[in-house]
Amino acid sequence: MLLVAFVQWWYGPGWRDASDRVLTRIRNTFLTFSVPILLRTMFQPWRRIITYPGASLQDRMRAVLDNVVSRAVGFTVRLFALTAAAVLITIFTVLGGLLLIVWPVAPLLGPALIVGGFL
Amino acid sequence: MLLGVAAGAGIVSGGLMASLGRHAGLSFMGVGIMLLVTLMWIQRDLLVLPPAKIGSTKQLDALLPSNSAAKYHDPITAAGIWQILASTWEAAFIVNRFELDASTITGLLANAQLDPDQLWAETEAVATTIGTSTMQAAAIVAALFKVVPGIETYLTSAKLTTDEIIEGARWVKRVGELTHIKKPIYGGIARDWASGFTPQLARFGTNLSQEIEAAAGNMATQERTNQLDELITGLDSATGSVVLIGEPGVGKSAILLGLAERLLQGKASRSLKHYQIYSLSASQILSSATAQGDIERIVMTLLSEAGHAGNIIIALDEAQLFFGQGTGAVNLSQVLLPLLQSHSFKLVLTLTPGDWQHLKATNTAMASLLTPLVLAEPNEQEVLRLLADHALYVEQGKLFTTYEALTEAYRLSGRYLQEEAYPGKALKLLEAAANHPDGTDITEKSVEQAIEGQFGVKVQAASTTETDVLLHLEDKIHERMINQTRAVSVVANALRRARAGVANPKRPIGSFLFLGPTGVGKTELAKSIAALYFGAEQNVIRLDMSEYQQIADVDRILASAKENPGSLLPKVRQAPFSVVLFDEIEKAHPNILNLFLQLLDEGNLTDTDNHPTSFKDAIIIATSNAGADEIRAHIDAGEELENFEAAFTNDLISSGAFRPELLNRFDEIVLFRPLKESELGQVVKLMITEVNKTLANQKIAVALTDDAAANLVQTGYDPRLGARPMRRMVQRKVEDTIAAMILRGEAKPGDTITLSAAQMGGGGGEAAAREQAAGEPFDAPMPADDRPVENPVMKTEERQAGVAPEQATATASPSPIEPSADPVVELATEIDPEPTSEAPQINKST
Repeated sequence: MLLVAFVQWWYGPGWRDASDRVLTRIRNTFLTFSVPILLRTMFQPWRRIITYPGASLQDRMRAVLDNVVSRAVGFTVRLFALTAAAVLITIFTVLGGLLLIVWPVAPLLGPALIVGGFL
Repeated sequence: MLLGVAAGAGIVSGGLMASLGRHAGLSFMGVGIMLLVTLMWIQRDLLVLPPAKIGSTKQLDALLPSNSAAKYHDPITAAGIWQILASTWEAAFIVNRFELDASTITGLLANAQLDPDQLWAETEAVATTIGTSTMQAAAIVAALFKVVPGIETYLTSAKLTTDEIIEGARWVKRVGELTHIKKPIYGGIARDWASGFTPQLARFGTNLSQEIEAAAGNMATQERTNQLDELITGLDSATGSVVLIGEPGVGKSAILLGLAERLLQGKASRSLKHYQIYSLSASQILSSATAQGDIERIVMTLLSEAGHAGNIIIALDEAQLFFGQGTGAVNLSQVLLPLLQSHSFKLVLTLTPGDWQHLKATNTAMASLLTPLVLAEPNEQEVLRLLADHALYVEQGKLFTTYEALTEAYRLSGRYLQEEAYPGKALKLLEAAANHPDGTDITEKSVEQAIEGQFGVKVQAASTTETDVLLHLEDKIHERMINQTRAVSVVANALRRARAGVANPKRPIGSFLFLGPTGVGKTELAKSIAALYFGAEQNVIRLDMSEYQQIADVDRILASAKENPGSLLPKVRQAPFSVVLFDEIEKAHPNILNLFLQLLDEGNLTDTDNHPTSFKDAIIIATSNAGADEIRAHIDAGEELENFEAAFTNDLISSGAFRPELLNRFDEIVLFRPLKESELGQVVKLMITEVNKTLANQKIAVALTDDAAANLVQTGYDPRLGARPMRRMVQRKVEDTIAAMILRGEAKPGDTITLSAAQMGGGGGEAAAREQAAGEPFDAPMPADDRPVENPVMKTEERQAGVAPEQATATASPSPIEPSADPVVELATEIDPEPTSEAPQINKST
C-alpha cells in the first residue's frame, strides 16, 4: 500500500512538482534580472541622464555627445546584467533538465547501485 | 534533518569510494539515493499533503486536513472529532481568541449526538463562506459548534454567536495566508535603470513603494478592490490626476499603499507598470519654507523631478493646504494649474468632502482637471476584518488580541471617536489598547482602558467600589444637597440605569427638566451629578438660555469649531462626558427649543460645518422657574410633590409655557420644592464645610456656635430667593471675618476659629442680601452693628471667659434650629476684611 502511494506520487504529482520547481527557479532568475525590462530599454540613457540641446551648434553637438555617452553607459550595464542572467538561466536549465531526466530512474537507481556494489 | 544528512553522507562518501575503485562505494551511494528519494517523498507529499478541493472528490480522507485526516475513524462522534481538532493550532486559535473554555466545550460535546453527514455538509458551507476551497480545521470547528446542540447556548453565555465563530475561521485562514506570503519580485534589479534620479522627492517625500517592498507584501490590503480599479483607471485617463475624497480615517493612505503594491506587481495598466508613489506632506513642505517664494520653488522642483523621472506618481496629502484652506495654508493653484494642464506627471490629491466642495466652488478649472473618487466608510464586517489583520501587526509577536477586543474597538471608536471615520479610528483605538495589555493579551478591557485614558470617562463595568457609590447615590448627593429627596431619587435612578447599561444607548444618558423656584438646589444637583458621574463638578457645560432669545441665535447654538470654538457643539465634542445645563430654558427662542426635540430624541446635533456632535454620553439638564409660584402654593398648602406633579405638568402645557412634544421628550420632569427655613441650618453647615475645605491648605478651621448658625439662617433666609442669600451671608459674615484675621496674622496654621453671632456682626445681613437680590450693589453701607471696632481681638482672659453675652444677645435672634448637643456647630468659614466687634475664640491644635 505504502509502495503504491509512493509510486503514484513519484511518477505523478512528484514529477510535476519537480518540473514546477525547476521552471520557477528559471522564471525567478529571469525576473530578478529584469530581462524583459533590460531588453526593452537596452539603448535608453542611463537613469535618464540626458542633456537638452541648446540653440548653438556647439551646444547641440555637446548634447548629442552627452546623450550618446549616457546611452553607452546604459547599454554596457544592461549588457552585463543580461549576460549574468543568461549564464545563470543556462546553468539552472541544464541542472533542472538533468534532474527531470534522472527523476524517473532515481527510485530504481538506489537498489541497482546497492546490488552493483556487491557484484 | 537526520535523514538528509545520512543521504548526503551516503552519496558523497560512496562517490569518493567508487572513484577510488572500491565497489562498496556504489552500495553507499545507492543507500544515499534511496534515503534522498524517501526524504523528498516525506517532505513534499506526506507532510504537506493538501486536502482535496471541495467537490473534487467524495472521499472524506482526501477532503480532510492532512495533519489530522488519519485520525478520523468510525464511529465519528462529536467528542472524537473535538479531540482531534483540539490538537490543531487552528482550533487553539479560535478557543484562545474567543476566550472559550476548552474543558467546557469538551464537556458539552462528551455525550452530544452528531450526524456526520450534517457536519461535513456544514463544514463545506463554512469553507465556502470564508472563501476557501478546502475543509480546513477551523471550518470544521465552526461547523461543529453550529450543528451540535448545546454549544450555541454556551456561546450565547459568552456573548458570542456561531456567525462570529465563522468569522474566527476566516481570521484563521487569513493568518495562514499572511504567514505564507512569499516575497514577490517587484520588477528586478533593472526596474528603475531607465528612470531618473529623485533626490528632492526623497528629501521631502515618503516612497510608499519602498515601504511595500520592505514589508514584502505584508501590507497587502483587504477589500477596496473596486476602488483601486477606479483609481488606476483615473490615473490612466487623459487627465492623469485623481482626487481621493473622504473623511479622515476612511483609508486614503491605505488605498495609496494598495495602489503602490498593484503598480509594483505590474498588475495595473501597462502604462503604469512599476510606477512608484511618493507621498508628499503639505505641512512638511510648508514648514521647510524660510523665505517668500520658497514654497512655490520647492513644489515646482518636486513636480518637475517627478515629471522627469518618468515613473513617479505624486500623492499630495492634506492637499487643501495648497489651495489656501486651513491654518498656515498657501494658495498654489496658479502654480499647479498649468502643470496639471500639461499632463507631465501624475498626481493623487487627498481631500475631505468639505475641502473638495470648497475647491470646486473656488477653483473650477483645477477641479475639472481632477477625477474625483469618493471613498465611503467600510461596513462593520469589513472593519472587523481589517482590525483582525491589524491585530497581527499590533501584536508584534508579543501580545495576543482577543476577538472581543476587536468588536469593542469597533463599538467604542464608533461611539466616542466621531471626528474620524472607520476604519481609521478603530485601528487607532486598537493600537492604543496595545499600551494597556491585560497580561499578554489585548482584551476588551484593554480597549476600554485605552478609551478611558483618552477621554477620562468610565466605560468599564462598575467596580465594587463604584457599585457601592451607585447603590448609595442618594446619600452621596445629599452630602451636598439639602432635601429635594424626590428630585434626587429620580436622577439617581436614571444614572443607575445608564451605568448598568439598560438605558437606550442612542439617546443621552439622561435628560431632565428641573422646575422650581430659584435657590432651591437645581444647579447644585447638576454639579453633584457631574461630580459623581463624570468625576468632577467642572464637567458642566452651562448655557444661559436667556441669551438665546432671537432667531439668529440658532446659528450661535449650532456654530462649528471654526466659527466659534467656545460654542456649545465644539465644547460637547471636546468633552462629551459632561452635564449640559440649559438654564432658564423657557426664555430661549422657540426655534432653539425645536433643536431640543432632535437632541433629546436622537442624541445628536449637526453643526454648521455638517459635523455631527453626539450628546449620547452627556446628561442633559434644563432648568426653568416656570410655575415656581404654583409649586410654592401647593407646598404651602401642605401637599407633597408626588401628589400634584401630573396636574402641574398639564397646567404647564395648558398655559403654553412649554410645548407637549418637548416635555414628552425629557426622561423626567423633576419638581423642586422651596426650602423651609428649618432646612437652612443644614445648608449653613454645608457651606461652612466648603469654607473649611478651602482653608484646609492653610491648616485653619472654622466653627460656628449655635447662635452664630441661627443668626446666619435668620439673616440669610428669603422665601422668594431660597438659599441664595445664604451664600452671600456666609461670604460676608464668615469668610470676610476669617480673611481679616489671616491678614492681621491672628489666625495661624493649626488654629480652629470659633465664631459667635456677635463676632460675625449679627444683623443687617438680611437687608444687604435683599438689596443684592434686587440688583443693588452688595457693598452697601454696613449697619452700625457690622462696623468694625478698634480692637477686635480679645485678650486671653476674655477669650477664656467666652463670648460677650450682651453682644450675642443683641445680634442673634431666636434660633430656628434645634440646639445641638454640641454647643459648637462644626462648620467652615471665610473672610471678613474688617475686624469684628468681638475677637473670635481661637483654639490651638496640638
